Amino acid sequence: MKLKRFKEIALDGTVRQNPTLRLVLGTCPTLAVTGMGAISCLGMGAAVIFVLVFSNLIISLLRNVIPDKVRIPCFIMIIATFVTIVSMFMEAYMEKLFATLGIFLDLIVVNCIILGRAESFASHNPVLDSVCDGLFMGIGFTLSLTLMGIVREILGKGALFGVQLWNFKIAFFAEKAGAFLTYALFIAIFNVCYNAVERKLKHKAARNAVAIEREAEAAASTEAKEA
Amino acid sequence: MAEKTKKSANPTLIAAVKAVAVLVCICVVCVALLAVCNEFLYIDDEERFSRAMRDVYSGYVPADGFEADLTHASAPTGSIEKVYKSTDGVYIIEALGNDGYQGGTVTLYVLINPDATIKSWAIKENTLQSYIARVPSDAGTKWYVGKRVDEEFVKDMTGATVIKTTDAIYNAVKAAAWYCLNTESVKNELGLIDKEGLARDAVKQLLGDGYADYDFAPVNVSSATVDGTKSVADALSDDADKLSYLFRVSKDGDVLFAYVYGEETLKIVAVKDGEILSKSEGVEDTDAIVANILANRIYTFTFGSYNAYAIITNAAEGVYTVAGLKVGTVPNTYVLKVTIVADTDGKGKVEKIELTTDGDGWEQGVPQDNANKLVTSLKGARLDNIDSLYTDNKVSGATQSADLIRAAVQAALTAFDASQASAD
Amino acid sequence: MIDLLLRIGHESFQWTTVLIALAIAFGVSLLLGVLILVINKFTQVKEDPRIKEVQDCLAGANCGACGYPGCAGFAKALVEGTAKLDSCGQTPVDKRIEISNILGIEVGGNAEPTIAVVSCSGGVKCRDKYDYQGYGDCVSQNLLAGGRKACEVGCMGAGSCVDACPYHVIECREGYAHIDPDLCRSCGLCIQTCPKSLIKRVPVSAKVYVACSTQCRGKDVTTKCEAGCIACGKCERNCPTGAIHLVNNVPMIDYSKCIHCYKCLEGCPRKCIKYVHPEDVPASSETAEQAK
Repeated sequence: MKLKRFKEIALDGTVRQNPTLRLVLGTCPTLAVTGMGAISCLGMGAAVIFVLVFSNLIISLLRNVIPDKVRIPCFIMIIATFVTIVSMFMEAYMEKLFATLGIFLDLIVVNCIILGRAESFASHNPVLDSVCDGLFMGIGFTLSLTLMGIVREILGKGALFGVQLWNFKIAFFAEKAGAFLTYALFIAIFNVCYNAVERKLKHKAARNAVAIEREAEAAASTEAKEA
Repeated sequence: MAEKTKKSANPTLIAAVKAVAVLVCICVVCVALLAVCNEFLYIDDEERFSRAMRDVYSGYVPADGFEADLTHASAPTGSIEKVYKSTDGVYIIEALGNDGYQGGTVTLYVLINPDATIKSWAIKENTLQSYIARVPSDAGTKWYVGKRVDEEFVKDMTGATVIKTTDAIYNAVKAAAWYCLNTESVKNELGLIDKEGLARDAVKQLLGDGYADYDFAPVNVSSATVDGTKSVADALSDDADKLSYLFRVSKDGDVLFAYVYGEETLKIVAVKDGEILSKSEGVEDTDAIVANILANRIYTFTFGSYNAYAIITNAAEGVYTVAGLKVGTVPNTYVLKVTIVADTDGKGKVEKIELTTDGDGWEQGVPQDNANKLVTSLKGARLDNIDSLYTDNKVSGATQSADLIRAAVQAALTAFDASQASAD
Repeated sequence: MIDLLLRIGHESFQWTTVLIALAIAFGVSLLLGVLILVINKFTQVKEDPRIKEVQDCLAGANCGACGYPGCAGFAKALVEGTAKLDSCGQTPVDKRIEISNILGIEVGGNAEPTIAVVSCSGGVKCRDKYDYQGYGDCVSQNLLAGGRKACEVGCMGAGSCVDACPYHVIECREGYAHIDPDLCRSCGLCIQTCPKSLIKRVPVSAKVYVACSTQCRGKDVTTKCEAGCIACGKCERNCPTGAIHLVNNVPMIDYSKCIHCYKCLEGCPRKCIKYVHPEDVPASSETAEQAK
């Protein structure tokens, strides 16, 4: 896979098409898990990365085999298998995290991010691309979730990664309404910055492209003149 | 036409079969993978139990030959799944509590000490409790801990914002308690048998219907000590016939005493006004209690609306060890050593009074200073002037306790005078 | 943890449970797969295959300027006959001909591709009626007494067209909007957005355009804007081919007649006819003013 393509996929997953802040997919775990503390966010993110990578891998491998009519049941079956594996593994080796995440671990099956990427990317892209896409989408999800989790934990509980920092807390942020507000603010701020940066970059890129074209034309015409 | 449809049907049929085949294959392969993983990663009951014990009770050593009695496994608030016992007498009851969030349940391991208090508990599993993580992680060592199993638990919700899940936990603990109270073997082991109730019932049975509506009030004889070591019960009886309960049976001024003693079979002696009213089977006159009764060692006094009782546990050369007992709001027993000498006219006069306590430290109803003052003022009392001496120095706010002290002194005086009279 | 791993090959590895699970999976998936197919047979929707063919010919930019949801929607509407091929400014000519062949419809409209230009160059040179301080862009400003510019058709430079352009080729400089002629794809979204309807389409080959839209003349214009057309008619007189005419005091260029002589531009006393491409501006200082 070319480096350019890799960079494209990596940037898409983490920034340009960040599932939480740009695509606004998987809001249910976002709202719930960010309130449980930053460590739970990391754990949730790790689980989602695992499921994304492996389900994208398998679906991409089978993309020419699965007929169109039954693709949804097949995708869900594959995703559910990996979610169950993660869940069993966590229950065996990380009981505390498993108990904290509880039902949200099982809900990864219907997390829009995973089915969305399977449907829109893995089902018509080569294996390595799909795996990278899954990995970076998962990383993007984890990063945004952890950042929001940190903000909510500091403001709502006065703690960070479980360590109590101070006693000042705004309980609103630990509650459900606070989840919505934090999420909304993150989306707003991220998109404002993103749009500003994107506009500048696109304009610059377009002008560069035209300049290169013009130079080529000029070079061609001088060649023609000389000839 | 027929040919045309046949031609077009075939490719769609093949496509359909292929679709189903792929779906089935994927499902079967995925399930196979899951089944294999399950074999490695499944946590069975044993593993869950040892995990919970690791967190809550690391000293768990299974007791040999213990078989759980699950006849009473269906409690009103839940059910009992398993019972374990440790070598040091701790019971571990796996209890399921109903009425959780969304109608789900919580299963706890409830640990109960040999003295029937709750040691701790741990969550084994739950159904439908989405927010079980909000139960504080130290709840198992705080909520309900130290409460006796026969007490009414108060729902303890400090620090949790999950009301229904806490309900289920409460129900599980209650179910475990119910199990203990209803299973004979456990009840015995934990000392939960209401022995006093059994004694009371036996007395009622002996006395018959005539006394059915009388008030049966227990008198404290077992924790009050004579000389700091021997209890009043010990003083009145010996090991073979240890006095376990003393009931004052009364109604409208008609009073009698019922002494209950004996280990295997309860022996009861009912005494009224110093005379034995009735005896249960197996009671011998040579039994220590009976001998003491026959020797007139028990006195009753009435002060106003209160009754006070004194039992002379030891009488030797003018030194009377008296226990002032009372039934009612003051459960204390005052044990006094009263030294009586003969006055000029031969009547008994108090020379010295020593107060002892029952147990460690002064915990009687009368503050120690006041008790000492009262005792000092009663020095030199005789049966004919004890009334006036007492009234002047009665301790207000601890009237009944003061009455007890006075009763004890009065009993000693009465006994002295009686012995002098019989000597003469 | 190790004790969990040691279950490999242990007696506790129960084959029966595994086989039961597999059997159930087989049965259930078979049942559901057949169910899906049976229902599919009854509910199949037949789509006209031409839609896909037409869609492949379109530019595929999904800009939405045609008014339909993406190129797919436009293709569907074309096949149904509810859309005109002209609505899309971006599809190249050869593709248009192909579509017209597939569908059996006329190509119609302009054969030559176009770009958009802003017919105003007032900006800071145009007086303000009032000082606008507020939220929003041209569209919202226009609600307030027709915008802050003294000229009724003056570009406010607040950037509604800038935001509308999906290719980011519009910029506001010197108080009015400039469209980059090399990058403009003529999708038409800025034309729809401008509340003053200042943006017009010119052919790609155009070299000059009229940078003013006012229908006022003479002093009416000079009191408001330094760069406004006073309708003196010089351009009309200078043009050798008669390509430029004053219509309602607004100069209009018929690009089929324009021979790129620049006489109209050079003769304009108000300098309101401009070069389309900034690089065409000659280096000499006099005409450098003609530059954008």
